[in-house]
Amino acid sequence: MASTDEQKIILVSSDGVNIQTDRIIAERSMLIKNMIEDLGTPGEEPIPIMNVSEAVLRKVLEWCDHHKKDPPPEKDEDADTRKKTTDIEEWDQKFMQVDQEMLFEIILAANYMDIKALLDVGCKTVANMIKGKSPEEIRKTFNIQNDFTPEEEEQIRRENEWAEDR
Amino acid sequence: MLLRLPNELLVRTADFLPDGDLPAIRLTCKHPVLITHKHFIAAFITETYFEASLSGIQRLIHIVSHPTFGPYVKKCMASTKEGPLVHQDKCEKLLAHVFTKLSLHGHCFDLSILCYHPALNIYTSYHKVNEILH
Repeated sequence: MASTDEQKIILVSSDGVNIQTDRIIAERSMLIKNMIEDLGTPGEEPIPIMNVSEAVLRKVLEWCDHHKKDPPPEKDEDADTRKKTTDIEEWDQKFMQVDQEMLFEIILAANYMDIKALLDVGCKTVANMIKGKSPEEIRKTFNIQNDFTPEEEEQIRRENEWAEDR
Repeated sequence: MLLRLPNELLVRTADFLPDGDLPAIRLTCKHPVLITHKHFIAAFITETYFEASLSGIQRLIHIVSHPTFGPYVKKCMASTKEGPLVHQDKCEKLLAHVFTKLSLHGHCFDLSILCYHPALNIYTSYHKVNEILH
């Protein structure tokens, strides 16, 4: 029997495409890892990934492949240590150079497939797209419609004054 | 498109935003105001700084009287670059008003007097009182 590292498994995307990959790559996803443990027969049954299309699933697996040797995430990761560090390693930055549609699909898939490190890279990428921009620039970047009445906008401006001189 | 993400993922994204970027995102449209609500409070409201001047105290009153944000004020820190308060009588009256508001919210408060040293560009705290308001 093949060792865990060499075992192959088959994933099925939401649009019905079978994708074969290594078990060690797929198990970066806690969803898949748990499913394999529950099924107890890795490699025999294709594993359906209900919410993720083929294109996105392949992209996610590309990330998992690059990060297959990463140490497993610590369980009690302090939320505060996550906050404020928007540094992204070079390979991940390049990986995230995709159109916005794909970026948001990757974030959704990472969340659904329970891949915390990828989810954080996605959220950091979005945060970096917001950083240092004016409200108008942010609206343009993400195609956001300003839905404030002038009164509401003025109220937010007044509240924002509390953030000045800090 | 950004706003199509579920709220918990938008909140997670906002976790990574530096405090200084919160005012801009709050001004884009209504939804981010709700998403970044707790971030804005943690960054600017829980510990609120004001200048020890008439206008600074008026600004503090605006915060502590605010129906949504007022109850979150836990610490007020006054700073001054100008030396002693001018309009001292007016300021005392206004500060009494602030303390009354804070007591309504049932918080402890820290009163710190910060001393600015222009030559060193630092603040030192030389007096601190911790009281529980009843």
